Amino acid sequence: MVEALLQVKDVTKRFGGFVALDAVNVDVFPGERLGLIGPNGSGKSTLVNCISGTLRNESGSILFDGADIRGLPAHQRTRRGIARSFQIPKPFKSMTVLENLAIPLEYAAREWAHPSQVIDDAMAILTQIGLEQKANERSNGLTQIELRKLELARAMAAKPKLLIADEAMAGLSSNEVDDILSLLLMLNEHGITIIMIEHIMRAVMRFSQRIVVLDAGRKIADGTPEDVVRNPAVEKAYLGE
Amino acid sequence: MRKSPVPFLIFIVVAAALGLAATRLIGNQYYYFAAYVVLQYVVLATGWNILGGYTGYVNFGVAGFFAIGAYTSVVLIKLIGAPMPVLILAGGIVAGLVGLGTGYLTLRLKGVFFSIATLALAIVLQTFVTNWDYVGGSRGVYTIRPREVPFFGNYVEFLFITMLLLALGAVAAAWLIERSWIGRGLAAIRDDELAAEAMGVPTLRLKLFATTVSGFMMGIAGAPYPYYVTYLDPASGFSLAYAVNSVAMPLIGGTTSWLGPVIGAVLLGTLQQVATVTISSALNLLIVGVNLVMFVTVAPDGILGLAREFSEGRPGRRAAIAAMILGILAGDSGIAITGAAGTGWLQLLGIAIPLLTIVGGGLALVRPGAGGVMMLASAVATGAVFGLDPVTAIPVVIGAVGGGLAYVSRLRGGAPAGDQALKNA
Amino acid sequence: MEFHQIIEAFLACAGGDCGNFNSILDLLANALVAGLLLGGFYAAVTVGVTISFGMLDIVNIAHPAFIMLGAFVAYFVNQTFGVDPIVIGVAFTPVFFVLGMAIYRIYYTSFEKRGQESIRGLAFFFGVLFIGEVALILTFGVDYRSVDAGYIGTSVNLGVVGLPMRLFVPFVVSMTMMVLLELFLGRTFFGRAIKAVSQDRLALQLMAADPAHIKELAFGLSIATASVAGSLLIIIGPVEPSIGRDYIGRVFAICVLGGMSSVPGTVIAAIIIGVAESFTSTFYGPSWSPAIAFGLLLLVLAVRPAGLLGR
Repeated sequence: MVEALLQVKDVTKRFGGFVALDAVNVDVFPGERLGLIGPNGSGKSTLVNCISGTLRNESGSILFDGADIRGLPAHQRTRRGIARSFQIPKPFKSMTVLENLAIPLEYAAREWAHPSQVIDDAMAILTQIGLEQKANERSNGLTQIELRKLELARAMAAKPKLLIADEAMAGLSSNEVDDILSLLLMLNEHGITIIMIEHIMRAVMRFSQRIVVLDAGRKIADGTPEDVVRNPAVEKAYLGE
Repeated sequence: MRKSPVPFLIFIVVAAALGLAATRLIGNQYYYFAAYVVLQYVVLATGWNILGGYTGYVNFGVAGFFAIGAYTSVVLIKLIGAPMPVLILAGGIVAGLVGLGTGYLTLRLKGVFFSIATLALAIVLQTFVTNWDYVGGSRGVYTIRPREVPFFGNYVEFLFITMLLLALGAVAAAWLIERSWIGRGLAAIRDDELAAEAMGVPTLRLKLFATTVSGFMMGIAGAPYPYYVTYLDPASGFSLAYAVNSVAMPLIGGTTSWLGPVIGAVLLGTLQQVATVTISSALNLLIVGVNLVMFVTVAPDGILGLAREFSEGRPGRRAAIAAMILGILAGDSGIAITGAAGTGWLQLLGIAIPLLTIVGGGLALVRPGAGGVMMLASAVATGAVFGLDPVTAIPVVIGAVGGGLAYVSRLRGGAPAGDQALKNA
Repeated sequence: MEFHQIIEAFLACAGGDCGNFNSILDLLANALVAGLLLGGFYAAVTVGVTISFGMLDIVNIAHPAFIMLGAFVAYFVNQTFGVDPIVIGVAFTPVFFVLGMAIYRIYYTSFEKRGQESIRGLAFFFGVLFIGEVALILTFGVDYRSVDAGYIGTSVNLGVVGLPMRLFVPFVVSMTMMVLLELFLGRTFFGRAIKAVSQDRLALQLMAADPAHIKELAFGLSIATASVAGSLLIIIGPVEPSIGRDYIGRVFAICVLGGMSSVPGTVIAAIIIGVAESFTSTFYGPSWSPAIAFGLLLLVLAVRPAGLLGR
């Protein structure tokens, strides 16, 4: 039995009186493609924030690569191999596309790289996602889909073991969704474990080997896409009684 | 990303050489007094900018750090008669440590609370010093300059060279930080702290670095001050003028590069020195305040940003930028010239009219027509009220030319391209 | 006044001789009352920032400049026409309201729209603060100015405690203003809209109410309070233009301590600061009181209550 790369055990997160996550348990295995879905407000982003370190969970534990990462600030979790993209792209607006990638390449890296190596690595990633033409353009001049791609590229530049894609396809056209989807599939082929949070069902169904469903802070389903789709609790969560 | 360090090094060497040469050639002491203040502001502005411009955290308590440097000197001079290098190092270290401490307590909070905390710190420090008799308390303390100093004719020249070296050192440090991976990390924090942290940037550690270095620089700026001013009291050591200048100079010069604070400090500092001769020092604050508000509202990237826009821009836009620069020149020189004229109503007019020129200049950047009208009107008014002799003609002519350029800009579509919303506001 | 003197007096009283102790109690009582009254006034000064900073997230560090403007307007009209300063303060609220709206317009167009409000917005208000102070210096000079009103200088005695009218009247006016504001925010449409803006900007936009318009009115309201607060300031004591600087810190300290966007919170925090300053002044001398508000604030910030955290 392969040990899980990420183990979320009994994680609870409160905001004042509001319980955003209620004893959530999720295991993610190396090389897996996991879909994380649930109605709005079910706690998906909160879970991502707790895993990445932006938020601290009150109770429960999170183990990554066998080690307890509670208490580690977000930047150290990134250095250990957890990378996430943001739902609403947050580019470094004063920098060019290339410079945006240089930040994670320089800071999340586990060993030092010569500046020219950094540029080479950055260009390689940009070429992979199709943004190499825009390398020296200011990031605040990009289109929506380009910003989404940059967001993913930045997470890729952190050379993660686990990549969490937080609604990377929201608001994109059908072709653009396919673009991002093939990108994520390619990354997974290179060995990166991916958690995809999405509302676009056809993408989640095609992408995921396994789906976890959250509702009102609790996990209500955990199985293959076919199983989850037929799960009455899931249907109730999305459609009501 | 890699630019040759040679031009910058040449700049440093030339500046140092010019400064040394000046002490041999210029005999009038007044210039050294004035230059000292301008150079002091180069250090303060550069120090402020490392935390403000590079990292995005506004420090209002500049006076506190400056005064730490000054009062550490007072203590060391009284205790052991320490020489200048020791004073500078000590002042910097103490101020740097205080910066580190303040940062540690408050940098986990949102930026605006850090800013409020820096203000709090300055006032608390001032209260302590006011009640500390060893350094003179509210009565102040006298510091006697050494009679003999090697190499230089007198002590004031020595102070000038000291501050020149400190300024060059500060600028070199800023340049190094800017080019380094630390500088890139700070920029990431400034642009989006949450994303930076998620991308592996140790934000707290870098912010603490920035506060410490910034505090250190502001401290070394204050260390020679007791010798410069000879009589130091909390009111002058903790003056809020340090804060407003240290904020204004980088914002006016440009915050993303080491050159911005230098430009801002030299321009604004020189202007204030000239103005102090002709008008009261309260008006210095007015000049700083008006220029600050003007730049921050219409030219947020400062003079460096305007220079960049000028080199990339369409002719209409260039005319607008030129109009703004001229308007500010006319207005600032006007305040110094006509603001000195007479008392009462005449003086108020001598200040109000050039202020309109400045406002007109700024307006020319976003609404060339209105700005041009304002500049031409105030040029005419200046001439009408104060007559046209060779001195008062300066603001009148510059203002009129600027107004004309604003009209040229309007005719050639000089309003900012992406700012249609401003026109409809 | 030193602590050991208090202890000695207490021990003496326990032994039967209560003369010294009684006079110390008198001192304490008067300090307490003065602090309460002053604190009440501080609430009037701060509530504008409670609105602009606490509710609208606009760091109007220039608020003290508007207070000073209000004080000098009251001075000018009072000396020229002999009108009671409080009447002037209230009468000029529409003018200050419009001024506030204009300032917000500029702030919104230049900063909020472009998303640059952090550094540059702050610097903008900082500049306005200085422009305000210097404008007052140019117009009125650096001398202290005061107003004439019948009740200033009189005092009512309640037992051992003296109630100076110059403190009591501003206290009453300030409390009245607090009550009115709290009612306005809680019971009227615009008041509740302002509260809504402070809590969820996006939701408000989705409800087709324009936050910018509401914020404009709210900011106008915030500056309007400065008109009244300024008139109260000059009743309490003579003013000169640079006094505003003492209030920058106090105002933000009280706002933060009071929980940011709560009017009752502001009142409580203001009274605490007022009393703390008063006691410090009585026992340690007035040169320590500037540090009180700020010292408390630094303490609170260091201990980091929830709501102030960046994440």
